[in-house]
Amino acid sequence: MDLHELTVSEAGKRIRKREISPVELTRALLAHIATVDASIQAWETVDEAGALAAARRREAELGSGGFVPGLLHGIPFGIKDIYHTAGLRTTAGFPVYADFVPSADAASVSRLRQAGGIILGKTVTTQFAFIDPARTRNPWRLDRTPGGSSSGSGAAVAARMVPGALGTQTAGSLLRPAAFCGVVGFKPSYGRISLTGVFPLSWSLDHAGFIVRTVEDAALLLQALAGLGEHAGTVTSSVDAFWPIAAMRDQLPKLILLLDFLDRATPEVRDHVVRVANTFRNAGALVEERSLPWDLAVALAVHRIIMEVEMAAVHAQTLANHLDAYAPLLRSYVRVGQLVPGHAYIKAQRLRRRLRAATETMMGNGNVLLLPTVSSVAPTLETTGDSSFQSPWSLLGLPSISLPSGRDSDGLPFAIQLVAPFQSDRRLLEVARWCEARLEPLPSPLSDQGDSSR
Amino acid sequence: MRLSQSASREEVYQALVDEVTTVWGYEELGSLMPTIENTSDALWLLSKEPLDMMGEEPDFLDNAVSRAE
Repeated sequence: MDLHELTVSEAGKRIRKREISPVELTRALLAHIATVDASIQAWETVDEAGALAAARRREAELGSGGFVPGLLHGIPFGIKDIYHTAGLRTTAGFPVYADFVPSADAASVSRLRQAGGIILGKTVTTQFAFIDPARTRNPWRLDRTPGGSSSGSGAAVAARMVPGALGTQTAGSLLRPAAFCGVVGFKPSYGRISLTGVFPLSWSLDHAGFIVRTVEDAALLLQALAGLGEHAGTVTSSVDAFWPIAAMRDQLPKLILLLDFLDRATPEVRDHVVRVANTFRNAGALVEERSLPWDLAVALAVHRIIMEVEMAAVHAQTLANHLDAYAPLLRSYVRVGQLVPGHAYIKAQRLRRRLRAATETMMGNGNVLLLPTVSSVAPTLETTGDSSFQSPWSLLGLPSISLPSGRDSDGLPFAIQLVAPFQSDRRLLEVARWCEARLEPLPSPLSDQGDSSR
Repeated sequence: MRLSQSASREEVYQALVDEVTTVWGYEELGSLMPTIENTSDALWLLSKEPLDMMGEEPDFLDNAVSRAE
């Protein structure tokens, strides 16, 4: 197997056994980026010198007596270009910040390094993690969007340029790119991973998370990144053990298939997810079909008002100073958001509580929601896709994961989404692993099998 | 901008258009129109949801509490 094909877990095991070195792995990924990224354009900055220097240090550490490697020792990662990275430029996709070089790491980047991770570079983000499309293309088909806003992270992981990459989600910015690119996207419970040192979009909706290729990798990264780190910010204080995840031998998943989303999906997506639900049912899962306990249109309205007002609060001053540098949709939201009345924002926050309470009642003890991650396969490049299947769970702060679950007749990935109760991240990962084992793995989009559909 | 529970979708839309015109100018109206339409729809939907004066406090109070713990 080529080294760039290794997952996070596989690479970690081989590095600890000294079968491969961090320098070898880093060089292999850099060479692969040089080969494939000209067409995909997933990277804003590739830090070849910095990554190789870090890899040499990791290699030297392995050779020193008594050294205990961290969970991510010697493994390179991509970082969405809204996370501050010390000494490495952080543009947020905003031309005014093209040469901005932070002096300190974001808290989660710091934790990644503490766990032994290597920063390979910065992945392309839509401007300030909003919905104006970035330049990145979908590795499965270059005329399709990779999704957004973590566009580069999704495309880079799918194209095997890096085994994992950090991203963020305010509406659907982690799970949607993961779904469109045929990889695993994970958004933990609100506050589980620190956002200190990450450009905000909407404080009460923003989540830090990541895109990887397996559920085991998601558990490993969450174990490394969750918690307070050196900073506090909005991070929840309790930290569970997420990795290794249990195999669920004694307990089969209880899934609630949400009919509202099937009704809003394309016929091809709906039929696919019903087939997947039947596969899970035949494997022993309890799959119950239910409708949402609230009006989806109201939930989307609540999300929109909160996001728009908080975006206006974040960006109003910078927009006034740099109007022409702003992307059109972001500029429009910030301008209109400044005019939404304060009482409407407060009402949205009150309704948010109502929606959360109703959702918790529906989920009961141990149920996990099952729905399509996206309403369609990846659309063309003028959009980053529809966020309405992912944003309710960002609104409610619930942990959610997207798993690749097949491909359509044109070879584009399908994906399912699982959602668990607040702070039940470990439970979600256990159920996701059970589901993953019953789904056919996707080939690389750059392999012969994947390439035939491009 | 006032939002009463009895306001129609068109009234909420017109109120936001008036606000945008006053603050950002008539010439900006065209570029902001898709956002105005979606935002006014969201505001109208919210206006139809009844809430009592007591209970169901704003969600962000919980976040403030969790930070303080």
